[in-house]
Amino acid sequence: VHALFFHLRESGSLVLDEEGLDLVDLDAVAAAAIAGARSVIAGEVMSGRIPISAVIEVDDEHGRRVLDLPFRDAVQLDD
Amino acid sequence: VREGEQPDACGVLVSGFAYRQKLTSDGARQILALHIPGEPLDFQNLFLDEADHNVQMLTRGEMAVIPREELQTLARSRSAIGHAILVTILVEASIFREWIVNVGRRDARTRLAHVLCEFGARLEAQGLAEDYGYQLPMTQEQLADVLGLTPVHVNRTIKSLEAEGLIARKGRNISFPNWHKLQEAGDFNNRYLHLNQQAAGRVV
Repeated sequence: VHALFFHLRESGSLVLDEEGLDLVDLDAVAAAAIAGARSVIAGEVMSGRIPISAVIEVDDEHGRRVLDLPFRDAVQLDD
Repeated sequence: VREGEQPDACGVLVSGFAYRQKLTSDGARQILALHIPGEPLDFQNLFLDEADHNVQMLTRGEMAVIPREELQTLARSRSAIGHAILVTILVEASIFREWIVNVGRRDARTRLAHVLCEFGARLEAQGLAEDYGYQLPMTQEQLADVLGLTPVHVNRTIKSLEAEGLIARKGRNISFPNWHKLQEAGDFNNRYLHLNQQAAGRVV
């Protein structure tokens, strides 16, 4: 189990996660990042906006980057 | 209290915090209610024979345990106690109704602000808050399960309330520089908490 920090880069600013989540492996990290991105998109889309350029940056407890998840990779856009 | 079990006692929280939860079949958790010190945890099962959801401690704490049958006898023989128990159950139902509105119809910002207001108002009524500041006994993950959001979304929403000056945080300590504005942001009106009636019930 490791503490992972899910920071959110959006509109040029960074929302820091100081608390972190305890997760067992990379699959769990990816799942939490995707769920987080979709949750933010779902909330924003109700006010008519999709923050598609945002990125979730996941760091471990030593500040090492574990995952970058661009929001556009968390959803499929059907044109 | 565990779903499916037959409770034989009613707990009252003496210290610490507890919550009610249900799980979906694929493991997603919804927290249904939060309980603060002084509140009974299981009047729900005083006259129902099988627990239909789980009640768990959120933090370390102490619980006073009253045997279910003796409490039933007391509720039947002393009408004032029966009345106080009924009022408590009705207020719990009122809070559940408010939470349905919260999760079903309010956006993330309003939803979080509402829960923070409710928690503050209830702690204040029990004499446990200091000028509408308190220690938030929940992780972002637990808060996400209260709000039907995710930890990432909760963190973003907390930070945005903070940037607006509606809340101030120091670790788990949270305070409210502008209580009135936070209530507005949270669409919060304490009518549904029936605080006066609850106080009358507690005197018994």
